[in-house]
Amino acid sequence: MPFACLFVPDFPVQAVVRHEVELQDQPVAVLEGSPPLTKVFSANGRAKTAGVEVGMTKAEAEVCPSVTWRWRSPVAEASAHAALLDCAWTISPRVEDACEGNDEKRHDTVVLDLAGCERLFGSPEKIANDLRRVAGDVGFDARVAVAGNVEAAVCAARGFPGITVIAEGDESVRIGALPISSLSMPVELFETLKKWGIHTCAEFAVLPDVAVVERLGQEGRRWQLLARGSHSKPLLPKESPVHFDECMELEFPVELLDPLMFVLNRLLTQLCARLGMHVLSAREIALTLTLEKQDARSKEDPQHVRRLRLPVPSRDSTFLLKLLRLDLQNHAPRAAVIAVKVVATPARARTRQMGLFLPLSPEPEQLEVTLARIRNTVGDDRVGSPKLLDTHRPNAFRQDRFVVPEPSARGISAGERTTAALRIYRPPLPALVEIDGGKPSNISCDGARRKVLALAGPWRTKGDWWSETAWAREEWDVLLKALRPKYQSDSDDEEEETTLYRVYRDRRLRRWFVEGVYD
Amino acid sequence: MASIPTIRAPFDKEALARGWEGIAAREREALECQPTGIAKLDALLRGGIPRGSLVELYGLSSSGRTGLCLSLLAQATGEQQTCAFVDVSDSLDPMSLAAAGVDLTRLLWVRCGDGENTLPRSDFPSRSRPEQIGKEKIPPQVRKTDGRSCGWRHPRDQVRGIETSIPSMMRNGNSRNGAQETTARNVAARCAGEQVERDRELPRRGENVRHVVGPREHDRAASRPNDKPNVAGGSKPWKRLEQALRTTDLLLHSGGWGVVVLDFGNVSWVDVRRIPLSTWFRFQRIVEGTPTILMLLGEEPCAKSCASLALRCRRRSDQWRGAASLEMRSGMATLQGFEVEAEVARSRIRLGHAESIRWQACRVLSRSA
Repeated sequence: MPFACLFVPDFPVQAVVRHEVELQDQPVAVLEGSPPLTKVFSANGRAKTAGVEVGMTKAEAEVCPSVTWRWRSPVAEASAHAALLDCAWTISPRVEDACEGNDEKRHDTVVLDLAGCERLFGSPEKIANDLRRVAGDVGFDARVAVAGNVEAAVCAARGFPGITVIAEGDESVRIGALPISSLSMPVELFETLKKWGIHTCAEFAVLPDVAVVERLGQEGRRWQLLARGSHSKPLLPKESPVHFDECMELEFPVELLDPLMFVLNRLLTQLCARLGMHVLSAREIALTLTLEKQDARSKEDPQHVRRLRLPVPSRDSTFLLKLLRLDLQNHAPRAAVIAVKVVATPARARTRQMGLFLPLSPEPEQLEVTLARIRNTVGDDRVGSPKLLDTHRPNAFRQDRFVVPEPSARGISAGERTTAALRIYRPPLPALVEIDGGKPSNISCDGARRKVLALAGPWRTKGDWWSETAWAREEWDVLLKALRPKYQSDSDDEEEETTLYRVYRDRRLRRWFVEGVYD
Repeated sequence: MASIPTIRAPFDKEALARGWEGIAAREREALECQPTGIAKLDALLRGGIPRGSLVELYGLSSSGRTGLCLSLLAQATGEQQTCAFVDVSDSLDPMSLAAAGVDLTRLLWVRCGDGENTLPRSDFPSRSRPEQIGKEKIPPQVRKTDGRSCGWRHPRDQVRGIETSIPSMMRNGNSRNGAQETTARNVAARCAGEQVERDRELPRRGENVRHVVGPREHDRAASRPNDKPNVAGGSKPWKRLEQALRTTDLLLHSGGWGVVVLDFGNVSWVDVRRIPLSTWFRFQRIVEGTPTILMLLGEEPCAKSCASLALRCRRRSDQWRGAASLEMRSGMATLQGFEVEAEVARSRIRLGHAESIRWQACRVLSRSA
């Protein structure tokens, strides 16, 4: 039963560099600790060639030329580890998270069970190549090893560069060629073996079992089995994730939108690549911007959270970036941004059967971008489809989010008449009404006084009398000379301009208003 | 008076005989049409409103133009098309939409404005709020970024808002002379980088526009300088017009819409006509060759030759049940509706021989009567 191990060397460096593509060919070292105890925590191969060593102080390391320095980012490492797990899930559903069990050093390693995968993906060599390519897609320069047991695969991945495939039964030979330092054993044990003159796993493996147990105990025995490549351990599979997230801590506070968009672009690209590994799309995107503290007394950094619900699941990073940009233009944070986190709620990708005779409707993705742009133009609560509320209150409606509905059987036939629509003044126009015999006789509104030519009413309505939002009104339909006469154009013939208005008296306020005009 | 199609007919015949097909009116059969929902009008238009065209529907207030527009939307949404209504003056009544048979889930309603009219509050107008009616408020976009260190203010955007600050600077200490205000506004607009066209500088009273206001009313209005002419867009509508045009542009470019209505119904045609003709030409080119109908709803035609069809609506007579005069007893009458007459003012396509048709527009509550 073969197992594969995916290992990322210099993981803290690669976790940072995967979001900064321009640093991939540069010597990079990661620092940790507060000054003056800042030390080099990890360095990539080029930085080590330049003279940087893990554990050096910052002052010592800065002597090395042309090395790019970054601070260690636990959130970036957590995102990178999640991405590494996603790479493994593209091949096998049985994946072990090697960092679980309080072994912090193994964030860089995941193991997967390849039982049955040969039929789907081909030979172990091909699977190893696929794994390395997929890891490259999310920004890792990973090592892959395939072996007959979990620990042998892990040892081979840590010890050999590139791709290593160990045939069944060859574990002791291949692992034996590795130095004992590749086993990541405790320092005391390593020093002891070094004093004994043992430098390779093969030399450690040939020692007699009983003698090893007598001198090093059961722990020594376990490390010897590892050196022989015969230590067997059951694989503990991990559940698939419910959310996908990518985080990034910024080197300096960002105040403008354009630089932040570069960061978001990188995060979304990685996120969409990870969703693609699971053949999923994002149904909702939650963006959390950690802001710079403006009040030194507050303990926690303020956050700016935006949520985007997508009309259809999507993993198009360009589309998502466009939506986030438009949303942030309209909802800018109140301080500079120091960290970014993007969380995607996964959903199955949209499947739709197209047809020649489907009704005319906009593309959902294009429509969402258009609606976001319109919201930026007119305001958030002024775009949507109208929905009447279940109440008798006049002018009671709300605007729902506009989503193109599915086609349904509904027809309407041509007739001989239309509806006299009401054009509403929002807010209603305050008016002064002269009453004669219980009926409006003259209406003054907006500086104009008009005689009522004809009228109908009153329609008395009221509601919600049991609450503070009670309303009561008395409506009249009136015919007046227009309150706002039209500017006459040269083509106009001289005709008297009369208009049908709806006026009402608010019986609680005891005031009159012009509600609208019939048109 | 003969209709325009009647006048054009001999010219078209002559043009076709000489081979000038581009000048002659196109034959109707080649065009796909969207029925309006009024059988007589569809017969007059030989099938309905032509798709892929800019159509103008105009008339005075209470002329029945909005009812006709809603009828068209009802037909389009009934055919499962997705429609949009760009409401410049935020005056659309959802109840009327529903009564006209419009499928509300298929209608995108965009309410332009500067944020002073939000969604109807449950207690609006309330006891505590009547004094706020008509007050200017800061738009949300501006409010968010004012006085903050962040808010995505790129240096090149820092000059934004100067068009509002310069007039106030120039007004300080100066008299409210009309000429000075004119200068201040135009200077401010130019400082903001806006290209001020000659016809958009300020109202051109006395040239070819005259306002029908009686001398007494004029004097009364002049005696109250603090009264704002806010009847349904009487204040300067530039911001709302700009929003509406930008929104329409976005909608047309996104594609897939059956009918897009741009409603200038409560905006004076004097202001609407200051929109450059190139805007309508651009819109017409966008919808050309697509199934989308762009309908302009207003007081007067403004797109001129860019419109493929212009329909004029008039209210002919009102129907009141019972006595309609003021002498009647209160509570004994209802407004039943009114009769609407529509005529084709101009058309690029050859139409039927009837010059105008009439139909009935019913008030919502009395439609079943």
